[in-house]
Amino acid sequence: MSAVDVPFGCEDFTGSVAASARRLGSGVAQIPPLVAASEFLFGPLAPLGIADSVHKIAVVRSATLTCALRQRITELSALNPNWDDECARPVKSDVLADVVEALRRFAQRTSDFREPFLAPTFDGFVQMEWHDKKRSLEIEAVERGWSVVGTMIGNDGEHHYFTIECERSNFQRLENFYEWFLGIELLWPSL
Amino acid sequence: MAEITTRICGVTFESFFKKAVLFKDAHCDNSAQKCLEAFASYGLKPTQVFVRTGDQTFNYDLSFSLFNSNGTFKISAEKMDFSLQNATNDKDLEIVQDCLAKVYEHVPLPEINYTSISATAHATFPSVQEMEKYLRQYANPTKQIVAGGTIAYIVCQNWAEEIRLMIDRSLVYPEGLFLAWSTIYRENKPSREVLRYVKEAFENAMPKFDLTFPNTNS
Repeated sequence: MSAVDVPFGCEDFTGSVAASARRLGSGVAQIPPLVAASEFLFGPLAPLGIADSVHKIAVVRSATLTCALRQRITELSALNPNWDDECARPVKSDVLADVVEALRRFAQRTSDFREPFLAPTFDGFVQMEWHDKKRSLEIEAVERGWSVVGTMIGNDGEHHYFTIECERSNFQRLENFYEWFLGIELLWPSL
Repeated sequence: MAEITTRICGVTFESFFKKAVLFKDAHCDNSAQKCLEAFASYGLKPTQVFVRTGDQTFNYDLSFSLFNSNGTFKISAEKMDFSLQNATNDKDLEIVQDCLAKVYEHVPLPEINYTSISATAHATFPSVQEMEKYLRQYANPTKQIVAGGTIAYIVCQNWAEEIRLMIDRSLVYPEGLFLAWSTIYRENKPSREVLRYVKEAFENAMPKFDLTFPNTNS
C-alpha cells in the first residue's frame, strides 16, 4: 500500500510530505483567504519609510506615559505642514521620539512625575514646560540638541535665570534638570 | 538644468581610528550602554546590541541594527561603520542625520584619523526619454558608445575635500540615474553642522552636471 492510499487518520508516519499534504487537502475544507494577497502586502503592513517608522515607534513608546500625555503626543505626531497657517513645519520624527524618551525617563526616575505642557514650535521642534511656585523649567529641542532654561525665585524674592544647552542623547543630563525643578537637586546642575 | 527626484538613497560613514584598539581597552559594555541610551528612542532594545568577543584581542565587534535592518552600526578594533539605507524623502534624511549625530555625540569612540563618507541615490527624471536625452551627451555613436555617464572629482565652496561623483544609468528605475558621492572628513568627529554641510555639498555638486534636486524645504 502506498502512502497516498493510507486512510486519513491512520498514517504510519512513513509517507512523504507531499502525500500527507494531499491527504490534508482532500480531507479538510479549504478556508478562503480573508483578504487578497495584494491587499495584505500593500495595505496596513506595507513597509514604512524611516521617518514613518520613527513616528510610529514614538507613539507606541508613549504608551507607558499618562493618558493625557499619550493624547498630546498623538496630536503632535499628527500635525500637518502649515498647522499654524503661518508655514510652520510638522514636528520632526526624531524630535518626537526624543521627547517621548525624555518623558519616559522622567516618569521612571521619581514617583512624583509631573506632566509638562508640551508645545510644538514653528520649525518642527517641541518645547516641554513645567511651572511651579518657586521654580520653572523649559526644555526645548533645538537643531544642536536641547536648550534648557530654568527660573527660580530665591529666598530674597529675586528671580534667577539659568540657561544651558546639551546634546540630544544626553538624557542623563535632562534628568538632572528635571530633578532640579522638583527640588531634589538644590543647585542648578550646570556641570 | 534638468530636475531629478530622489527615489531612494543611503549613506555610509566609516570612521577609521588612529590606532587599533585592543578588546580590553574598548570597553564594549560601556559603549553598548551608550548606544542603547542614544537609540532607545528609535526602538533599539538591549538584547539587540551584540558584542562579539572574538579572540579578545583585535578580532571583536559591537553591533546593532535599526529600522528593520535599514540601519547597521558596527564598531570594531579599527573603525566605526554606520550605514543607513532606503531613505526615501527629506524626512528620512533628517533621521539619518540625527542617527549619525547621535553616534558621534554620545557613543565613546577612540581618536579618529579620518572618516570616509559615501552616499548613493537613485533619482528619476519625469520620463525615460529625458533620462536618455541626458545621458546621450556622453554617447559617441561613431564609436558605438550608445550612452554614458561620468566620474568626476569636484570641489565645493563649503567642503574642504574633493568629492568624487559618479553618474550612471539606474538599474532600478528606467527613467532614473544612479548617483554615488564619496568624500573624506579629516577632523576628529563630524558634528551636526558638518553633517549638514556634507549633504549640502553633495547637492551643490549636481548643478555642475546640469542636474538639480527640487527644493523641498518648507
